[in-house]
Amino acid sequence: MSRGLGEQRGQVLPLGVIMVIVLLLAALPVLSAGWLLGTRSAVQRAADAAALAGAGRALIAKQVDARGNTYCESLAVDPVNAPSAAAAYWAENTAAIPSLQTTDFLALPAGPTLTVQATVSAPGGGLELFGQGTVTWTVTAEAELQQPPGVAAC
Amino acid sequence: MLARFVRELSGQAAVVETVIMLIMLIAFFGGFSAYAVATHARAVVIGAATVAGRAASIQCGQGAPGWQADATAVAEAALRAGGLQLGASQSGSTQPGAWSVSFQGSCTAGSQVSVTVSYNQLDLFPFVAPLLGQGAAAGWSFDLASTAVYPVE
Repeated sequence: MSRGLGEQRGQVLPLGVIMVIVLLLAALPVLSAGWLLGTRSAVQRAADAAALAGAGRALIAKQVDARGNTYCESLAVDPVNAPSAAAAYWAENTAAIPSLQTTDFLALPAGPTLTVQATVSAPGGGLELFGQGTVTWTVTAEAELQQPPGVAAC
Repeated sequence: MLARFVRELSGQAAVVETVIMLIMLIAFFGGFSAYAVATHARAVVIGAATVAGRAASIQCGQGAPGWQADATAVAEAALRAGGLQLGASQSGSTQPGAWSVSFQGSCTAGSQVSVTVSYNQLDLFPFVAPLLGQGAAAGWSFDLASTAVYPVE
């Protein structure tokens, strides 16, 4: 009997170590998800700011009557300057996000609307501690020029 | 006599191993909890910088007096709504709970305004700050900061 009990020595510690390792592996995806959620909101903010900045580059075409009074305006996002402005704000807002990589960035003007679409990747999925695992996602933002009050659209 | 001694020794070893395992488990769950709390604080700080930056860009462009104070109030409200324990509003403080909002840029049309919200997070586990990309913790806390750059409207 006593021999049987003696043979049980040293069982708790190895089992405990294995259990902690298994728990750690199970927890990694959860920890990673928490980090990624914060990163996603920062990336969305960058896209929003880029869309706002790009849409701020507007082309305004005015129609005036014989007396020189404006009776209508047409608004359009500047297709030349808007994408570069959007890209500059995107770069500024994502610069401080650690380990984030932009694989694709598009700023697409269409009339009074500017759509920003970016594809980014960041370490994630729970395997980043081992130098593996990357999560890739696409973020979209849209900004639209508003007609000034009291001025009709052409 | 010998059999009894071996039996007692065997029992003591089990106790020692159990204590070691418990310490490991407590450290594991403590670290897990600390990381979860810090991750939540990071998300709240990012959200606070976003809303404060947006408020600043609009009010600054409209020439509203005291736009910085308004944006700071917006950031503070967002931090409180996120459940963070706020201490004194103090820039550069290493006191856990200390927070600050700083501004850069001008309010002229076509320029940009940059708002940085900073919050000092308590950190009892040294691995939490590097995992969050914040570098090494200084003492028992580290700074969580987020900067939002918006065009002046």
